[in-house]
Amino acid sequence: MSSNKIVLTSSDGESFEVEEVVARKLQIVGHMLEDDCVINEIPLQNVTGDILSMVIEYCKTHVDEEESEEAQTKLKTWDEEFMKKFDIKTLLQIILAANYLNVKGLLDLVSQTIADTIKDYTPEQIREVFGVENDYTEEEEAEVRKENAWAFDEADTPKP
Amino acid sequence: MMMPELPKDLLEEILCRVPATSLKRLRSTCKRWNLLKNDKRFTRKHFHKAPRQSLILMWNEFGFSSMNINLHRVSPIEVTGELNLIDPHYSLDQFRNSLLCHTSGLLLLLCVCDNNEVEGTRLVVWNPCTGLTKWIQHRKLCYICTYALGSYQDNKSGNKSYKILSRRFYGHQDPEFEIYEINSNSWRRILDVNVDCTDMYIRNVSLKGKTYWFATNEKEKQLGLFLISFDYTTERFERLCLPYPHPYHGYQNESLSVVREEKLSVLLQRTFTSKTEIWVTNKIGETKVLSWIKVLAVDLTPEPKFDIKFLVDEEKKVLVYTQNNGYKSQSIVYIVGKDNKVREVDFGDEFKPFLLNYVPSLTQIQQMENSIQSLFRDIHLFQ
Repeated sequence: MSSNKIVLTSSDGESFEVEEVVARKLQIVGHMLEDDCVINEIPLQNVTGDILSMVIEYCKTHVDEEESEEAQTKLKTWDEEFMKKFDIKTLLQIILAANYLNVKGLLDLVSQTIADTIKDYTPEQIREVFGVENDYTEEEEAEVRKENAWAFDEADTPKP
Repeated sequence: MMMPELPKDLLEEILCRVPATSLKRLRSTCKRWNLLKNDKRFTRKHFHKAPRQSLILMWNEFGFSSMNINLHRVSPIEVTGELNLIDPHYSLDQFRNSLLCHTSGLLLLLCVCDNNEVEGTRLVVWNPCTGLTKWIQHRKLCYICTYALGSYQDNKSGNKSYKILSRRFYGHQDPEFEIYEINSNSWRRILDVNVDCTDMYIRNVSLKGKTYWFATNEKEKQLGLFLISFDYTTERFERLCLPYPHPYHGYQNESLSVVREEKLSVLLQRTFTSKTEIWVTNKIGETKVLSWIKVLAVDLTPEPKFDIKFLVDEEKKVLVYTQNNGYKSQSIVYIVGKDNKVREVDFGDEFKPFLLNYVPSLTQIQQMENSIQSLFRDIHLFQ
């Protein structure tokens, strides 16, 4: 396996030297390397250093994904622990970065983590976190709330 | 730092992983989130990616209550939510409804208006999670008809669609079967039906494109009780075996149930035996062979009489059941675990002795007359 090093530079000028195999997990980088094979420094304009470092940490861990069940379980546990470190604001930064850098596995992981986090939010909390504007009139909102008033808990079939 | 608004596709990527009941609550966030319930592509994505929920619903006068069961609590059952059907034609106190069948997050109910039983009697297919309904008239609606709901793959659109099967009895004559296709809004008779039995029970369960009933055949009495299924794609009936051959003295109690929209389950109590057994199949649709595993065998006291509705948790070995109390309108829910201790919770007369395991989903009912409307909505939504 190639041990070429690639330098990735974030929008705020932070540089990370990583192995080519790790950098290739970022598909945006993979495509650039295919187009022109003599690059070794890549500027990434839409991601800041602190977020990029987290994406790189994910890619390093997932660099050789083994098929064995044991390895998969280990990775899954790592993923869960990794995601626990971030608050909702950071998770939203990571999803934007994962989308821009095109890291499929991370995109799935962080989407699921955000979904699990927001499922118990109130509509007000959602609007605040996602910067969504409430475009209902007061009457309309009351109507939609009434229609959807079935706020039930999940009863995981008989739970002894 | 101000959060930049998420692009549409990323927001969808997140929301398609939020459980259906949470999405329902979050619909009042903004108009765009509310309109997702009409978006077929989003529905498909949600079906594949969102975690499966499983709720216990109990039928009450106007709709359903969801409940949570925990054997370690003093009161093992807690009512966690209410869900009422809104009829656009009549107010709540004017009609009675009865649940006929449920599958893929849809419920099929019969609504009877007290003031006008003839014109006011209709079938309704209802998705409680999206709130969408489809009201259906049947020219032959009467008490000797029974109905079931099932899914099939529509070859024209490639989408999953739904049909209602109606069975009408005429005394000892062969029953008449009719199909209502939700896509074409029309009833048609199915001829050359080879049912392969002479008696089918009224209670049924639907699962993965088929409906199941207990059945017997007078011409083959030695077979005793067996299962019969109807396939909504081929429109054919098929005979299936119960866990073991029919016992000499028959059964004192038998009931059908569905486990998490994946497996069939039967409750069987042989006549002159004290044990009630719960058997569960393998996952339906994964292999052609139906195999049964016994998950529980318990002594139920007081001994159940008839018309039992039950749910079972295979892993935790817990049985929850209720039964028709005849002239008394009181509903009692019984819970039994491996320890064979039967616990009772009295729900009084507001509830009906009818439990179901409901898996919420955003399933579309497909209303032809509204397809143009929804097309405009979709265009508006994703501009």
